[in-house]
Amino acid sequence: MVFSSNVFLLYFMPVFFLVYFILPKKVRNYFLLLASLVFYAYGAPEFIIHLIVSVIANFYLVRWMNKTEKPGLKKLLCGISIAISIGLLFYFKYGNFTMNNINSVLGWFGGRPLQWTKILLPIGISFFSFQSVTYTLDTYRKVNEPMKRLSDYMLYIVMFPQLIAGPIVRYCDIADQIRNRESLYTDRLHGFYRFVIGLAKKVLIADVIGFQVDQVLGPSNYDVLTSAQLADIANKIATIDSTTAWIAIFAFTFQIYFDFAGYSDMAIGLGRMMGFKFPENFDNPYVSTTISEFWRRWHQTFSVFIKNYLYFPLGGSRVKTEARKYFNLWFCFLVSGLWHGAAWNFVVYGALQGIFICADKLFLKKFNERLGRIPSVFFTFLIIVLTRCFFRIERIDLSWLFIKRLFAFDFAPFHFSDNPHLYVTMLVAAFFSFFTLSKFGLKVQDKVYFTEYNKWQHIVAFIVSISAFVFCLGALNASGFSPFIYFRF
Amino acid sequence: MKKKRNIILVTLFCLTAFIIFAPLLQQHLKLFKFGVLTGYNQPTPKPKFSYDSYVSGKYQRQSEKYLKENFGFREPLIRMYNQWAYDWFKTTSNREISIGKDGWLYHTESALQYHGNMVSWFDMTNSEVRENLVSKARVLAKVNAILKQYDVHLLTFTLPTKSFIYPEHLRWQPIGDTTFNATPFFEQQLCSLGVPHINMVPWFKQVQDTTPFDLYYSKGSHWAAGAPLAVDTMLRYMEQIGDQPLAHIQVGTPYSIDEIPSNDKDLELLLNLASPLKHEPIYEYPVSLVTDEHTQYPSVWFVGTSFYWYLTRRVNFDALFRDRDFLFYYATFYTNREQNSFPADNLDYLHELLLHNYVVFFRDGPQLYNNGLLFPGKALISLCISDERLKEKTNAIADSICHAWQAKTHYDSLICYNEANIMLERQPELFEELRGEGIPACRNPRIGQILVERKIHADRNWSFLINAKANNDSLNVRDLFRMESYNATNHQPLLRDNTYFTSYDYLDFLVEEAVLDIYRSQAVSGTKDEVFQQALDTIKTRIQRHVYDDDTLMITACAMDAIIKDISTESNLSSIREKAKNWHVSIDKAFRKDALWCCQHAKDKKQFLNEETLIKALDAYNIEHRMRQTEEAMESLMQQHNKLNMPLRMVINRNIEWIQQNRVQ
Repeated sequence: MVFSSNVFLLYFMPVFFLVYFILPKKVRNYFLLLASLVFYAYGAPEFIIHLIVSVIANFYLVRWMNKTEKPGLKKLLCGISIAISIGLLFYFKYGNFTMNNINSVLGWFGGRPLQWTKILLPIGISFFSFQSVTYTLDTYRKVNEPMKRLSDYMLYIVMFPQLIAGPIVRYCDIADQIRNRESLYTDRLHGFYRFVIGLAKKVLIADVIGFQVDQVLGPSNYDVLTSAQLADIANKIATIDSTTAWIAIFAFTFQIYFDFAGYSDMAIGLGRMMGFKFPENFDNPYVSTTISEFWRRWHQTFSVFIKNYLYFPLGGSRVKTEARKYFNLWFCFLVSGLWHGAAWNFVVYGALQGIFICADKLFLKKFNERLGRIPSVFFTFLIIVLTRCFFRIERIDLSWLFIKRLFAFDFAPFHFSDNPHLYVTMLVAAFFSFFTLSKFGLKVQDKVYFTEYNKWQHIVAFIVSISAFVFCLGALNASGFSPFIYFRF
Repeated sequence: MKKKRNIILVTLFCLTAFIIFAPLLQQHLKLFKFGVLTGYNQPTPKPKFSYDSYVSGKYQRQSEKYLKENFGFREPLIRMYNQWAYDWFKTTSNREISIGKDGWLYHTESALQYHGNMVSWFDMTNSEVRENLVSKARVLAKVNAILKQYDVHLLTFTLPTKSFIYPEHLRWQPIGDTTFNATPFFEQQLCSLGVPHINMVPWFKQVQDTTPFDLYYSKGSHWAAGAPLAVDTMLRYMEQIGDQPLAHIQVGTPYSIDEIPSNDKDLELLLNLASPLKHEPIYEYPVSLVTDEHTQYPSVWFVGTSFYWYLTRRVNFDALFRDRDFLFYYATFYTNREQNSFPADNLDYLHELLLHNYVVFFRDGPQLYNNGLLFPGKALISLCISDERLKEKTNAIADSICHAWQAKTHYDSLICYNEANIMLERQPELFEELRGEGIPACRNPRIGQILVERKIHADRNWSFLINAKANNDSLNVRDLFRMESYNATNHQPLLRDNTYFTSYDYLDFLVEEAVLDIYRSQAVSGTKDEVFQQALDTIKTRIQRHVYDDDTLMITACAMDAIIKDISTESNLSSIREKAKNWHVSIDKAFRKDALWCCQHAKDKKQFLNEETLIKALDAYNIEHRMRQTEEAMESLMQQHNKLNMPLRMVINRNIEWIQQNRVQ
């Protein structure tokens, strides 16, 4: 179930919040846990057992780890717990990818391919696996005491607002809130406003742009395509004119931001309605002046996770040689690329990001400083846009071909949509992406997101949110409604 | 102050909760009524929960789909969004519609067709489309040649779609990699093979250049004022190929209509907007027919699309053609002047092809690209291939498909059989006997009997008797004609010699003929009631001039009226009830059987016919006709019929008598 679906908006959300607010505080967590399991089971019924079993195993392993005084055993239990989380992630997410590559290598040497039944990817596994790792490591590092109740731990892992697409909430950030939190009316309203902002980002901007991007670059997941469809996409990319290519990749850059940031806003909003304060996930990433800054602003909870649980354990910047420091940086981004998807294009994407980060440290940052703020923002944005080619097109050869088409400077009559709705939406997306370049924009954003409202501001926010909510419902349902004039056959 | 703020917050929160709950309440309680959204969509059935469907995700997918179609406030929400998208960006989420410039709307397929982008739309290559069209044209040429042997004329035309007549209002469209326009290519093929074909586009464009208003309505997909022009073009060509004079269409001074009929703004309705678009007036031509004593009224079978309805709405086809049937998209067959319809699955193509004087086959451009062009194949197979041979070939192909697909279940075999059927319809030349450039020599052995049926249809009296039998016995008239042709071919007793009918039936037939004559002869016909009255007057004048004195059907009808009067006694009624019981038939049937027997054995039937009786019968016909037009009157008659257990004819006659007596008083 996704937040921008009718089942969630019209059934799950109203019924959940009605019951949640009616129930006494003591049992709200149990109800939230039950609802979260229903939420997950609805979308991925075949994986709910995996999820529950892994959660239970981790909970008891971590408890045991916390109780034991023997450092060796502690380390071992910590390792087992992490191995379970990462092992499941690796098996489900990278199993197919690994086997495909092994079989390809075997094929080169004339070997017979290994038998392997393709496995499906459990929804949200990349997120809840990481959360479970933070729990284990935070407890191991004594940052927090482990949960006393299994239900509390389970709630931390499976809580529906952040279960599917984050933000990745570190255990230490939320442990207290699970046990003790307050949901004031102002929180509930603010949460709803935030949820609607996210919904609007997703439905009114990302989906509108995404539809047209798909027309040019094909669906985002090439796994579902037949070889004929793939050949068709390859043909399209090979013959695409530069104008269409540039518009398409700019459009995708906006789409991915508004899609992901919208989802995070919805998650944060839903959490706030229940009194949770989830960490922010995006901080106007496209106004970054350097690639390093971009990664501090983009998918912040993930960056923090990588920093705390991979970069620092690798030694971070406190290593003996400069080369090792840059390798650590590059490696973290390589892993982060792979985290986004099990395909070589994501590896290349991660590797490129790592290279740019290193370049940033070496010379790019200085270069950007010399350029001045606004030019450096656009220069950085251009790098982001170009690297997005490897993110969107799931085949490296096609990504490379696409980049070549970008720079073919073949500005023939372009094939992209003539739909003014798309271009206006792209302008709106660009406006909101770069809105905070000005101090005024930043002030407005802070006011909308982070400041307490007075009663008039609440009334205005309420009217705007309700109108936007209703409008999003209309957009969500009108977009798929394409009746025929006549039933012909 | 803080308390006041809290009250506001609580109120806003409650309002929010209420609003997010409102669609759920509306869905289940239906508190408000909204008009349904225009257009056709296959509705999703309510999902049924089962463990398997849940685990496979089917239940969830279906729930989402079902909810999308049924959630509360769906209609106003969709309309609101569509209105916004249209007002701000002139866009629509409906892929079927392409929004043009100056408020013009187009059917997307028609716009794509104009731009030559249809090939990619149907996922075919240029050469595949070309090959398909060449084969279809060859098949049509064979059909045309065979039909000619039986005095049936084939006429084909591609509909002049709006985008071809008014391309200037089309918005810029992306130019695809495949730009191939099938319409001129297909027309060229038909011309080279000598298949009668009209290209209406140049003609429409020519007329448009000299017309101060648009022949198509900007918000509709079909021809509006252009319809009479299309009919006249079609008639002229039919006249040419059939070598017989047909009626002419005369258009008067165009007049504007402010209230646009919903059919004419079909594309606008499909946008599903919240408020109607601003309308320019639509222009119509007043249409009259020009005929003379040589004018022929042929029987025509139309095979085509919804454009047909826009012709019949503007031109009186009843007056133009003796008989007409319409096959709509190979899906529904409309017969008896569109009063009856049935699914076309079991339509006997051979029957329809040979029973009409003309077969007019028209289709829109997009049909040329996909495999929707089924008519030529079906027609050729029905003309040349016997039912047994068709079955044998279909089975053979189905077997090979089943083998290739490794079909196991009975259901799989059915799918294979269906696939084989479609394959043959698309490629009739899979039959060895239909291959080659020449006209196939083989014929369907049923042709002989159908030609006899054609003779029955052409015989006015015979045709009336079969129709009367079908009406009175509530039987399928098409079946009766077929049965009669079988009887005639096999020297069996004929239905026409055993048909019960009264003066009501025959006068109804005569009045109908008179109505058509009025429509055909007058420039402006008046209202339906006025025309009916004029027809009655015509019949009355003919009675007074003793035109029907030697009309055998009129003599029999009057004899039947007199016999019915004679046997409609209380004492006879009980005997009829007894007979109905013994024969296990309805009292009406027993009564009709009795009356028919008496009539067949009556001597000197002519004695029952005189001017006074006929005038009285005409008056009775008028009363009964009006009674039959009124639902309440018919309901009351049926109640009396059931309550008194009396034949319906007796009940009707009694009521007529009562009306006549009371009117006199």
